[in-house]
Amino acid sequence: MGNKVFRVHNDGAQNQDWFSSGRINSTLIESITTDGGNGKKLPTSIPSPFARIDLVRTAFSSIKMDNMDGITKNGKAVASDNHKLISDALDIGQILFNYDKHNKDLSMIEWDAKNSLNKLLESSVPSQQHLGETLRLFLDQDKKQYNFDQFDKIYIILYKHKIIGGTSPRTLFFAAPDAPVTDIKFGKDQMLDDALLPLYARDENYIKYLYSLSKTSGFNSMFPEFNSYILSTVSKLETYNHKLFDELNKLDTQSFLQSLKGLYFNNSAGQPVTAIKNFELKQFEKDTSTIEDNSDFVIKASKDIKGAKPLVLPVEKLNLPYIYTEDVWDSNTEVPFFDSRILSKRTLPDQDDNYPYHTMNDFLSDAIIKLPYDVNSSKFMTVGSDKYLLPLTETFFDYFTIEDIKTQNLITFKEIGIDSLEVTLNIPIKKGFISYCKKYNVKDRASQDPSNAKGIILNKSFALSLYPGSKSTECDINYSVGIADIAPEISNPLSIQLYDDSTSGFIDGNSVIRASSPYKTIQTVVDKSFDIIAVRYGDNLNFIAPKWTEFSLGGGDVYKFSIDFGTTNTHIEYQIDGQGEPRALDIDETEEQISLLLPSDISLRTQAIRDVSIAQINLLQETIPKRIGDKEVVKSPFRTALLQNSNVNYTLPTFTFGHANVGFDYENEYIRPYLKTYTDLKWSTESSNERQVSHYIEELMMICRNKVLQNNGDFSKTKIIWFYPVSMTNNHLRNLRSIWKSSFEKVFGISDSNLSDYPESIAPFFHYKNNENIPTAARPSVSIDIGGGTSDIMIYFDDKPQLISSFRFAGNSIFGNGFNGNIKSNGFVSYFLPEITKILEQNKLSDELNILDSIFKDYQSSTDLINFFFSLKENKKVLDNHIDIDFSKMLAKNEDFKIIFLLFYSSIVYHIAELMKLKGYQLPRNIVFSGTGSKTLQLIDSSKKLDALTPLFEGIFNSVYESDDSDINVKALNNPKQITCKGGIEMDGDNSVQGLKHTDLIEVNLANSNSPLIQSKRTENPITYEHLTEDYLNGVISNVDSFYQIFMDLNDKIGFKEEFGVSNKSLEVLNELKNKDQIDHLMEGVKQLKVNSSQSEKVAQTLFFYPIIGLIYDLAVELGDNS
Amino acid sequence: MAKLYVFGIGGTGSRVIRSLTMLLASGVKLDNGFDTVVPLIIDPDAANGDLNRTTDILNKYQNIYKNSGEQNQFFGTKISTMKQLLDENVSSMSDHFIFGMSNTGQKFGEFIDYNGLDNENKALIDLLFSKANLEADMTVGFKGNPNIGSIVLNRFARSDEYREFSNSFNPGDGVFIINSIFGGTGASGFPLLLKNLRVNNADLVNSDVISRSTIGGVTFLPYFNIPDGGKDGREIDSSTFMSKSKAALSYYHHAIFDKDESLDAFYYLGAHSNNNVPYAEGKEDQRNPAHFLEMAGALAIVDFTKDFGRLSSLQGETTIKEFGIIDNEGGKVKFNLLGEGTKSAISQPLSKMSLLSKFLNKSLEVLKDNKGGFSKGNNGINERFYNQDYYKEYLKKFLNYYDEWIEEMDSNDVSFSPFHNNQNHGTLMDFVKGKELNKSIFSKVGLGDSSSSGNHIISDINKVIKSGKLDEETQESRFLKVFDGVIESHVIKILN
Repeated sequence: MGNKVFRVHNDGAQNQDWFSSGRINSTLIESITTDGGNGKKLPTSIPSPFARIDLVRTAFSSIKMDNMDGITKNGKAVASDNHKLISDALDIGQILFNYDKHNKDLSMIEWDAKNSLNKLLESSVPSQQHLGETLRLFLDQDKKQYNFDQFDKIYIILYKHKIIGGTSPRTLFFAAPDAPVTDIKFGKDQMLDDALLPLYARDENYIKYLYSLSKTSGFNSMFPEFNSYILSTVSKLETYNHKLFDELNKLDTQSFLQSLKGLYFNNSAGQPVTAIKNFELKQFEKDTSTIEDNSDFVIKASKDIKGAKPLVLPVEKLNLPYIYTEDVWDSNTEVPFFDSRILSKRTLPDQDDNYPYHTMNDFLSDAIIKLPYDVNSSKFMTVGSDKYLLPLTETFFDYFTIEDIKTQNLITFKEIGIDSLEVTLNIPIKKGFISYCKKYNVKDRASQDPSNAKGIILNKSFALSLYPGSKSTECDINYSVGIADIAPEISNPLSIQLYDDSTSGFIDGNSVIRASSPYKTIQTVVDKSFDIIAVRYGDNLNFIAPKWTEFSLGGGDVYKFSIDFGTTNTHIEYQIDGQGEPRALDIDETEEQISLLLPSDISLRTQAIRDVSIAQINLLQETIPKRIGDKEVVKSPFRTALLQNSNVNYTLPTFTFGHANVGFDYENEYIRPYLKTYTDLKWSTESSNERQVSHYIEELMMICRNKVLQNNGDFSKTKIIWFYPVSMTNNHLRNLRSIWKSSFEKVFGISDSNLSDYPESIAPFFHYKNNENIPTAARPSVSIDIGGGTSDIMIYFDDKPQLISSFRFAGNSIFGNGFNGNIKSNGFVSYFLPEITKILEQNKLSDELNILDSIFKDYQSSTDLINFFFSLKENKKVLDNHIDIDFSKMLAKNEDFKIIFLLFYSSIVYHIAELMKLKGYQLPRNIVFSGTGSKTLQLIDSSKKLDALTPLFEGIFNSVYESDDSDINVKALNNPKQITCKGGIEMDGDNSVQGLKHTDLIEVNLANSNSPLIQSKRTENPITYEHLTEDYLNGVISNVDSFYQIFMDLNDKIGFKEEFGVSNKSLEVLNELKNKDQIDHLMEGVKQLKVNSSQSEKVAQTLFFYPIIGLIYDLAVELGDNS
Repeated sequence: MAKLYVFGIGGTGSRVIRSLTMLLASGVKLDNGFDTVVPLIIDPDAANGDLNRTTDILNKYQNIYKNSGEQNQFFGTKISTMKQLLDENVSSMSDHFIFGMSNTGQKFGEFIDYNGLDNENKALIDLLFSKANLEADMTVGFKGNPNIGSIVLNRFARSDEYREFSNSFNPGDGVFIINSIFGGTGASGFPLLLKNLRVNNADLVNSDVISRSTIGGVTFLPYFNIPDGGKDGREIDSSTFMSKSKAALSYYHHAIFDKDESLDAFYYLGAHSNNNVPYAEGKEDQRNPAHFLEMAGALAIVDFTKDFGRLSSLQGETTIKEFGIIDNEGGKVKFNLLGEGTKSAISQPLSKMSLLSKFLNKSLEVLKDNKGGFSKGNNGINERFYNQDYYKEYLKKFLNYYDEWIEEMDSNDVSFSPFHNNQNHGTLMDFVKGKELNKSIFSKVGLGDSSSSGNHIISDINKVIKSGKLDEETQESRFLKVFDGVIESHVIKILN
C-alpha cells in the first residue's frame, strides 16, 4: 500500500505524518490543475493590495512557448486567466507605446511612492492613515519581490477619464481590474476587449520595442517573468514570422530604442514615464510617409499636394482588399461622414494615427442649390440634372480641377422624384476610386447638419452672367460676373466668388451691388483669369463651371478697330486684315461674348423663369448686349450713353461693370430705374466726367478685344483708331488721350503704337476720296462733319489736308434748347411729342413709352428726346412690328420747320466760304458731308445728288467770292456717322497724314466783318477773350446780318418754297425774328466758350454761329407753337 | 515554560483550533515545554458559526481545566486568553479569544475612505481594486477577496489585543498561524500577520523579540467544495478555489518563503475531495462540519512544538511540511491508516476521550447504581455532582462537542472513522475499530458478560477510590483523575 499525501498539487515526496517536503516552487504551483478560468473572474486571492501586480507577474511566468495563444472561441477567451492578464497588460503597453497618437482620449496620473503615500500617512482621516500604513507595510515587506525599492512612481493611465491600467515595477505594465474596452485598435486588435492576442502576433514595432527593452542591462533581474515571455515570443517567431525573427536577431537594440520617442508625463521632457527608476518607457512615432507609401487609399490628385497626401476613406462598407495603413481595410471600420478637425489634426478612424484623411462631407457640400430652370449647357458644365449647381467644396478643388471632373466623369446626378437628388462623387485614389453617394432632399433648412449623411436641396432662383466667356492660359484679362438674386434674403445673401484652379484659391475681385430690389444684382469684377464660379448662398457654397472659349496669343487674324466716340452717337468699325471692307461692329450668334446661365431658347412658360429672364435683362444692361448688329436691338452706331449706379462716388475706386457701363440699351430698352443714364460724356466738364469717359472707353475696348478673342484673332496685333474734335481744348484733349491710352493699356496690355488717333475733321474725307471717285486734284475739297455737338471742317488740296476748323454748331444746335430754353418750350418737342406718344400708345410700345417718359421727365434733354424720335425708325420692335414711325419723314413733311434746316446748312457753307476766301483759296470742287448731324440734309433734299442744295451752296459761294462760276460737287451718304470710322481705317497708314500735327492746321474764322481775321497757331497778336468788346461783337452781328441778307436774296433767286417746300409762314417768322436778341445770344455763347479759359487765351472758335443758335431755338418755338 | 500563541484566521482558523482543543482535551501534549496555548481568533465575521462554537468549546475547556487539578492527561494543557495571561485589568480588552475587529460592517470603499482620497491615491486604488472590491460589504469577511482583506485586517495591528499580545510575549514563546489560502479572511490574514510580526516596531514592547521569534503556520488549500458554486451571483465560488490557491501560493512563494526573516515552518495541506459544504457567506450559517484535515492541521501545531528547537536554530529557511497517511483509496481512515507518528500521537488520547464519553453515556447509570466506593463511598462522587456546573455544563457538554466532532469527521470526506458508535454498556470497550475485544457474534448483540463490558471500568474506578490516593482532591479533580488513569489503562490494553 502506498501513501496518500493531502495535497492538491502533483509533485513531491509521498511520506506519512507531517514530513518535510520539497520547496514550493513554480513547477509545483503549476501542477495544481484548475479549469484555467475564462479571464472573466480573475482570482483575487492574493493577500496584498498589490495583488494585481502579482497576478500579472504570475501570468507572465506561467506562459511558455507552447501555450502562448490561450483559447479563444468566437472571439472570446474561454480559457486561461493568465492569457487574459497578459493580453491586457500587453494592451496597456501598446497603448503607452502609441500614447501621443491617442492622446486625445488618454491621460495619466502619477502616483508617487513617497509623496502620494505621505498624503495618506499624514491624513487626519484614520481610514486613510490606515490605508497608508498598510500600503507602506507591503511596499516595504514585499520590496524585493516587486522591485518596490526600485520604483518611485506608478503611472496610471486613463482612457476617456476611466482608469485602464498602469506601469508595473515588476512587469512593466498591467491593466486595471475594471478596464473598459477601448475604441483604440492596432491593426484589427481592439485594446482591452475580450479577444486575446499574444505578443508575437502584434505590431512588429511593438515587438521590436519590447525585445529591445529586454536587452537592456539588468532587465532580466528586474523583470524576469516578462523576459521569459519575450524569450518565448522570440522562439515562437522563428516559425511564425521568420523575417521578424531574423530582424530581431540582427537588431541593434540600443539604436532602436534611441530611435524611439520618449514618453513623458504631462508632456514634459523632464518627467519621463518609467516602470522603475531610470527605466524609461518609449513610444513609437509612426513615420507617416509609410502610410503614404503603403496605403491604397492615398488620394490621386491632379494638383500638387503640399505635405502628406491624405487618404480618402469610404463611408460605406468597402469589401475590397485595399491596404489601409499597414493591414487590409477592415470593412467594419466606421468612417464619419464629417470630421470637424482640421486636416492636420485628424487621426485615422480605428487606427488613430495622426494622418490626414478625407471623408464624404469634405468634398460634398451640405446643401445643393436648385434653380427653377435648366442651366445653359452650351455655356456651363452640367452633369445630369441640369437644374442643380455642383455641390462641391473648396477642398475638392484643392486636389482636382474642373477638367478632372469632365475628363474622368467624377460626378453624376441622379434625380429620384422631384424632391430628391442622389449625387455620386468618385474620388480617385491609388487603387481606383472611393465613391461617395450623398442624397439631397428638400428639407427644412434648420435640419441642416454638417455631420449628416444627407444633404438638403435649397431652391433658389437667380440669373447669372459671365463676361466674357473667353479664357487663356497665356494671359489674364478682366472679367465681370453678374448675379441677380430673384428673391433676396437678408439673412441668406447670395454672392459669388471666383476660384482659380492654378492657385487653388479664390481670387480677389471687386463685388459691387448694382441693384438692391426687387432683384439684387451684384457685379464682381476681376482682372485675372479664373476657372470656376462659386455661388455662396447664406452659409452654403456650390460651384458653377463655365465652358470657356479658349484663346491663345499670337496667330490668327489681325483686327483693326476704329472708334468714333461722338457726342450723341458712337460708332465702331472693324476690319480684318485681308478680309475686305471695314464693317460696323457686330457680335453675332457665334461670337457672343457674354455667357448667360439661363438658356436663350428657354420657354418662358413659368413665372419663375419669366422672373429670371427679366432679372437677366438687368445683368445685360449692366454689362453688354448678347448680340450687336443690324438685325439686333443694339447696332452700331449707338447712342453715346453711360449707365451708372445712382450712388457712385467717383472719389473712390470704381469699376467698369461694377459702377458704370456703356448704355447700349439707352433708347432701345427701358433702362432699369436703379441705373442712371449719362449722355453728355464727350464735352462734359464735370469732375466725374473723366472717370465716366474712362469706363465708357474701357468697355468699348473690351468689346473689341473680346471680339478678337472670340474669333481667336491675333490679340497682340490688334489696332485701335480713335478720333478727336479739333475744337477740343488742348487740356481737354490731353485728358482724353490719356484716358484712351490707359484704357488701352489696361484692356490690351500691348504696345501703344497700336493705338492711333486722328482729328475727326480729316477721316471722313478719306472715305470719300477712296470710295466715291471725287475729283481732288484741281481744286480744294471741303469736308463737313456734323456731329451732335460739333461740326468739323477740313479743306484738302495738293494731296493733303490744308486746313481744319471746328465749331460747336451741330445737330444739337437745331434740336437743343438754345441758350435759355427748356424741353417744355422746345418747338420740336412740343410739336412732335404728342404725335409720337400717340403712335407708341396705339402700338402698345410700353417700353418705348417708358423711355420717352424718362427722357422727358427725368433727363429733360431735348436733344436726347429728338434722338430717340430718330432712333425709333431703327428700333427692333418697330421694325419687327412694321410700325410706321419715321421721325425723319415726319420732319421732312413738315414745311414750317424746314426753314431751320436750310438756315443751318446755309450758315455753315457761308462761314466756310468766307474762311476760304479770306485764306485766298480757290472755289471748292467738292463739298462732302458726314456725321450724324448731316442726316438732316435729307429732310430738305432727298435726292441722291442733292440737286436742290447744290445751287444753294454754289449761290452762297458765288455771293461770298463775288463770282458766278461756282461748280460744286455736293456729296452725302446714307450712313454718314460710319464715314469717320471707315475713313479712319482707310487713312491709317496714308502718307499724307503721317506726322500730321492737327494744331498746325487749325484756323478759325472769327467772323467779325469789321476786322476780318483768320486766326491760327501762327497768328501774331491774336484776338483773345479780353478783346471781345461789344464793339467787336457788333462786328460779328454785322457779319451774321450779311449772311441773312444773302440767304434771303437766294430765296428770291431760287425760291425756297418751290425747291425745298418751305412754307411762307416760316419765312415770315424768320424775317420777324432774325434781328431779335442777337447780341444777347452772342454774349451767352461767348460766356460758354470762355468757361475754363483765361481772358488772355486766344478765342478758340468762331463767334459767328451764336446768334444763329439763339435764332433757331426761337424759330422752332414759334413755328412749333403756331402749328 | 513557554507559551504558544496560536492565531486562527477566518473560519478554517476557528475549526482547526476546535480540533486542537479536542486533541488537547484528549491528552495530546505539546512538546518542548510549551505548557500554555493562547488561541487568538482573527475573524471580522463576529457571527461566524464556527467561531462561536469554537469559543464556546474553549470556554468549557478552560473551566474544566481550572477545576480539574494538575498533572492530568485529560485537559492537561493550559489554554489561556490574553487577559488571563496578563492577569491585570485591561479595561478595553474583553476576556475572550477573539481579536477586536471594529469598523468592519462597512463596504471596502467606505473603509478606506475612497471618496475622500486625493486623486493620485484614488487612482491607485482604482488601478488595484475592482469596483466589486470597493462595493464589497465586509460585514461577513472578504468573501474570497484577500486583497481587500490585506488592508482591512491590518487593523488588528493597531488593536489593543495586538498590543497586549506583544506585551505578554516572552523569549522562547512561539507563534503559530492557521489559515486557508482559498478563501478571503484566512488568505489575507496570514501574510499580513506575518508581516506585522516581522516588523520591528519601536512603538511596541517586545516587537524586537517577536520579529525574531520562531513562527510556524499551517495553510489549508482547498479541501471542500461548495455545491453549485458561482451561480446566482454568489460571491464565493469554489470553482475558483484552485486558481485562487494557485495565485496565492505563488504569492507566498515569492513573498514568504523566498526571503529571510519570514516563516520558519510552513505546513500545508489540501485535498481533491467530494465533500460538499452548504453554501454560506459567513455568519451563523457558516458552521462547517469538522474535517480530518483540520485535525491534521492541529497536529501540525503539535509537530511544530516538537520541531521547535531545530526550527529556532535554522536561519532564513522555511521548513516546508506536508501531511500523509497510508493510502486507502478513498476508504474510511482508521487508526491503522495513520502514519506511525500520528498514530502514536492521537490513537491513545482520542480513544481515551471517546471511551470516557461512551462510558458516561452508556454506563453512568450502572455506575451510579453500583455499590462500590465511587458512588457510595465517602470519598467518591456523590449524586449531586452530576447536577453541578462542572459536570453538567462543562464536562458533559464538552464531551458532546467532542462526540459531535468525532461524528462530523466520520461522516465527512475524507472520513476519519476510528470508532464504532453503536456501543452499549456491555460492549463498551469494543469501540476502536479493528481493536474489538470480543470477536464473538454474541457480544455484538449484547449477550454474555464479555471482556468488553463497562463493568471492568466500574470495577477499576472503585479500586482507585478505595485506595484513597485521591482523597485530597476536589470531587471535580477526583472525578477526572479517576477516569484519566483507569481509562488509560484499558485503552492501552485495547490498542495493543
